[in-house]
Amino acid sequence: MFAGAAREAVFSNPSVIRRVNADFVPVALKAFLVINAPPNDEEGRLYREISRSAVAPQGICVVNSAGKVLAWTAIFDDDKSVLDFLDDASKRFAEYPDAEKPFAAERYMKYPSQKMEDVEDNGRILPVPEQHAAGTHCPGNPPMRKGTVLARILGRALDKDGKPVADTLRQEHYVEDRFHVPVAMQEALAKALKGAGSDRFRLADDLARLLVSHAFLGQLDVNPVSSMAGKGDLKQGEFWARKVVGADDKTVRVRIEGKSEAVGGSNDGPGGDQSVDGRIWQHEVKLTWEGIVDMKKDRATRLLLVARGSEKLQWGNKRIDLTGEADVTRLPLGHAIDLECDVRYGIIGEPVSAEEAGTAEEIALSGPARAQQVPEEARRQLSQMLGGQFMVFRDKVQDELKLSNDQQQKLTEQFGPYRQATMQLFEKIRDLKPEEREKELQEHRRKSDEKLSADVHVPSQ
Amino acid sequence: MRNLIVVACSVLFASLAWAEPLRIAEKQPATPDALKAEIEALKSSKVAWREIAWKSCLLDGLKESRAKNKPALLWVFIDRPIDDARC
Repeated sequence: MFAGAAREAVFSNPSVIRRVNADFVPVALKAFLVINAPPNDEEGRLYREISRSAVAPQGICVVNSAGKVLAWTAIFDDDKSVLDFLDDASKRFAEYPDAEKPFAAERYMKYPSQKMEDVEDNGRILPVPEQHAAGTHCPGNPPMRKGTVLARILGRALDKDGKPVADTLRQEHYVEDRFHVPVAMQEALAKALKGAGSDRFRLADDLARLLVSHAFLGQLDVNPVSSMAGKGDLKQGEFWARKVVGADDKTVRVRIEGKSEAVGGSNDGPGGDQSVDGRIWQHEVKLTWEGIVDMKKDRATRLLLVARGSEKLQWGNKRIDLTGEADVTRLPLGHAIDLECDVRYGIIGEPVSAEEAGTAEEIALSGPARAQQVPEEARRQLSQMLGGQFMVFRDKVQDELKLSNDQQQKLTEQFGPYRQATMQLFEKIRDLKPEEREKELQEHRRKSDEKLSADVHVPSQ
Repeated sequence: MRNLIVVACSVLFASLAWAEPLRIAEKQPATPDALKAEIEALKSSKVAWREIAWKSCLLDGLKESRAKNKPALLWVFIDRPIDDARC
């Protein structure tokens, strides 16, 4: 929720856009690169320096040209505070443009009313490499296996005349998303196609589920197929395929038709979402699909799909009125949604380009691969220490929740900050008396639990 | 006799429908060009959150920060909201 809300409430504000474009160099970084799994090289040391003063797993930060943090914040008091934060950071940059003079990182949980303790300069001047280490891709754009299909999906809410709703800011009205169709799924499709000859055949469930699980409006939290933040169910996902004709001598064209119905919502009862941060949501998506897949041997070379249907989405909060103050004051909770309309989706997929593909070695060195290397034992220990909803990091629980690969990867990316903070806490309380240690631990559990609900896509996203 | 044919046809079609729960539509399937056009028409050319040209590479950002003497604004996020991804 945080990223989507920040995009809508902070970085779509015309005044903020003008200011950022005029006076800053905007860089968007995935949190797991900065905090969880930075590469083990000079560039990685820059990420670690930035994360040293982070206030939360996600946030907005200003650094100078040496990569030293001038200020961090997670949320803002109001819309004007965003511009004030940028003003303050600009002034600090004028004073500390590089690593010549030492300075502390200023930190806010909420700017400017909730200031946190500064983090002092450690005196280390880190080299800023001109390029990424030899044989590696940019950590911000990890490589994919050659042949992977990159699918881009567009979704629109329609008005009563069947035209797309004009608003393109809110994700419940307009959504763009991307997902990958792995090589293994393409090979399975090629095999099924070969076996069927000219007869029609049913698409594999995992491919059907992959397609349907991206066709919905709203933020990540409200995935009606397999939400990590509640219940999700693919009530119907029936796709049929038939070889029609080749686009050319080497291409086999497959016509696809299908119907899907996905229904999701927040959990009820103790331990459900409502007891965590108060969110309540319901989502139903019914779609009829048609399209084509072009195949060359055992690889898909083009995917074109259109889905038409209807959608109902409600998002609210039992504890807080989401229609009151400015959105920037409650980024982790989002805004109220009450949507019921016809919808349309389109998917265009093509194999990743040569630049986006990597060798097995490059993929093994990439951020996602490093993040995946968090051992199950470490996840078991953390879930035992922090309890409750941290069980979601366990393999078995993720399997039971039927989380997609994407969702599992996102969770893995979010694991690091909790492990790091918990290890730091144990270091800190090592010499305390047992009762003081327990008190600190309880407080850490409570804060971690709140953070997991707010920042992470777990039983809430 | 005519009634019998109608009933027989109904039973026959009903059984076919049962055997094939989802039938390929009778209408002419959309051509790839038509599908592509319909999909591309869904895309909005002007979206507020695309007005900031976010870089995704920290090294590029710091290089430009030095060259232009501007601070780098880092948006650290769990998802990928900068271009074409749900978040």
